[in-house]
Amino acid sequence: MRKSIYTLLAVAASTVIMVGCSAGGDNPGIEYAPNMYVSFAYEPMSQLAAEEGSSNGNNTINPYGMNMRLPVKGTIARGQLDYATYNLPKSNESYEAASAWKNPLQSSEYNLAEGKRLYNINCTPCHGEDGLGKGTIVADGKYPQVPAYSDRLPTINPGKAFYSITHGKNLMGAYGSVLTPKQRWQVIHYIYNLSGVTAN
Amino acid sequence: MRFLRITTLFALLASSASFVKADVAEGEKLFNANCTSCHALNEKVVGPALKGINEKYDEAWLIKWIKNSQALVKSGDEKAVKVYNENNQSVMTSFENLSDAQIKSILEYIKTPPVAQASVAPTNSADVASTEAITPTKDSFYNNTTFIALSIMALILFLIVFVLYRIKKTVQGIYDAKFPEQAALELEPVVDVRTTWKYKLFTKHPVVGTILVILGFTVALGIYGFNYGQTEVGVQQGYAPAQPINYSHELHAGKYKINCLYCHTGADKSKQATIPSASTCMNCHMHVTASAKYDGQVSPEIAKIYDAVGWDAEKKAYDPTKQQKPIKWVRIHNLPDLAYFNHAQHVKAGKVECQSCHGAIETMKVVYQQSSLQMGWCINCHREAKVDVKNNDYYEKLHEDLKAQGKSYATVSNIGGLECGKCHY
Repeated sequence: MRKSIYTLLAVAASTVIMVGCSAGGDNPGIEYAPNMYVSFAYEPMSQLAAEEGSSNGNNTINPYGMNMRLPVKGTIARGQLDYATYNLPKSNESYEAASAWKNPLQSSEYNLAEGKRLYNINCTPCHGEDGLGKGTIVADGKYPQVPAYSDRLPTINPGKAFYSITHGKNLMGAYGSVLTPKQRWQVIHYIYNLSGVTAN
Repeated sequence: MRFLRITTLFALLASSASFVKADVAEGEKLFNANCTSCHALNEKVVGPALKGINEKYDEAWLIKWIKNSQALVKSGDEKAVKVYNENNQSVMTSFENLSDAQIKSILEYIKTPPVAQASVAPTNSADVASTEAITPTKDSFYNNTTFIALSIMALILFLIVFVLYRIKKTVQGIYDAKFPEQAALELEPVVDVRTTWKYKLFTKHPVVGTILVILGFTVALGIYGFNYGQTEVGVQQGYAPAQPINYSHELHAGKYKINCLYCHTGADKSKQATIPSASTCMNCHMHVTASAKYDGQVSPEIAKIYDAVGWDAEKKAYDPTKQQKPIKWVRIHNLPDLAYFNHAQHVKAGKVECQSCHGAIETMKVVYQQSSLQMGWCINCHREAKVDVKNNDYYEKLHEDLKAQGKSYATVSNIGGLECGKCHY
């Protein structure tokens, strides 16, 4: 009887020890030789450091120890030279000036398909899959009614739509950092196609 | 005659009443289609709250303003310039497509909104209350009540076992005292100690015994240690750190069905899936403050976003005097530097669902690492998962080759997915 109690206790204790070392909650678990795990080069989004104060993984150069930086002002990303003209700062004048822009892309099958894919990722929560402004957030009453494309698009033009996607307009946020200029033009093709409005 | 007069009066009254009603309904429709992206009746959104606007400005001026506010501002109209400057100089959209009658009906709606409209806030908070009432039951299995109930049951079971053990002992005692001969017979016969294996091993050959015991322990600990090293060291499966903001994927990805790529924009075009910048949060939280839950105050969790980006919730504008700072999210999935992994390769070319590695994120209130991210786990999928080559331009040539070979599918291992250099270089 006594012996079996000891055995039980031993098993219980070893289970506790085993479980105690597993990852869970705030505990990432045991790590052996973290030097093999942590990158010496500054990896984007990485915040691991091999040990406190070591240069391995600790970014001591950038503010807040961030590895990501904003692009240098005035630089143009690869492949976006053709779209550099559509880059106006955020202002009321830029919005008016943008109305001179025409969509540089053809309304091809590929551009529409890509526009649809991007639209369904970035726009549907508010504008809805049908473009009537009844996305999941609006339908739940958490967000005010968004205008339907068929109502609003006839009163503006693709250039203004491009500006609005880039910098945001009214309650809409800015998507310039999310979508490349080419992708923005693809989405514009798609929303005109979706709502059956001819671009003016 | 008199009767006729009264009836016509009533008829007139009724028709005018229904006229006003139709006006308001029409106005509500127009208001929702055109105005709500900037205005609400009782709170400032982008533009000012509209309640009481009918008393503040005369109708003719309002119609002019709504049709083309910029023309009014440029003409130097004092009131117009004042409103323009009060609202961060954001230009109100011109509504030249609306007729005077339509604008009048909108103004009528603003003046006398139907009762249902006025009670939007209470129903909202009731909504919130009811969802709050539901959530505890949807909580994890081991919520407090279950845990306490199970503990009490376990305690009772232990008590029963203890009592039964005592009863058995007492009965045995009584039995032994009453029938000593019987009890003596039932005892095990005495054995010669020298024939037992314990005596042979530990007393006769103590060295062999000791070595055997040590060997046994070494093997047992070795197996345990090997297993531990393999499944525990450097494996963060189950890691669920507390994040600086109590963000729920269950709410955003589950209830509101916001696409994973909406926030994790890098997943289909770069090595990193990326943590969204706080400006992505602001796309919605510029307006959504969850204040119905917090007595009109901004939710403390959302206030952390405002603090990070320097947003003034009162003025509804960014405050240039405030220092912007990053939110220190805690990274959960940490692949060691010795292994290369590329999100775009899997999401864009391989068309792998996010959930197949990260688990059902859309049901997680607190995200945890579901997969072990060990090499065996990677390789297993590379061996078994069938690549969707059919509807994928990326694999067009591969698909042709496969068809020529008479195969209908390919796994990653067929296209070099088991080569060491694929991930380790």
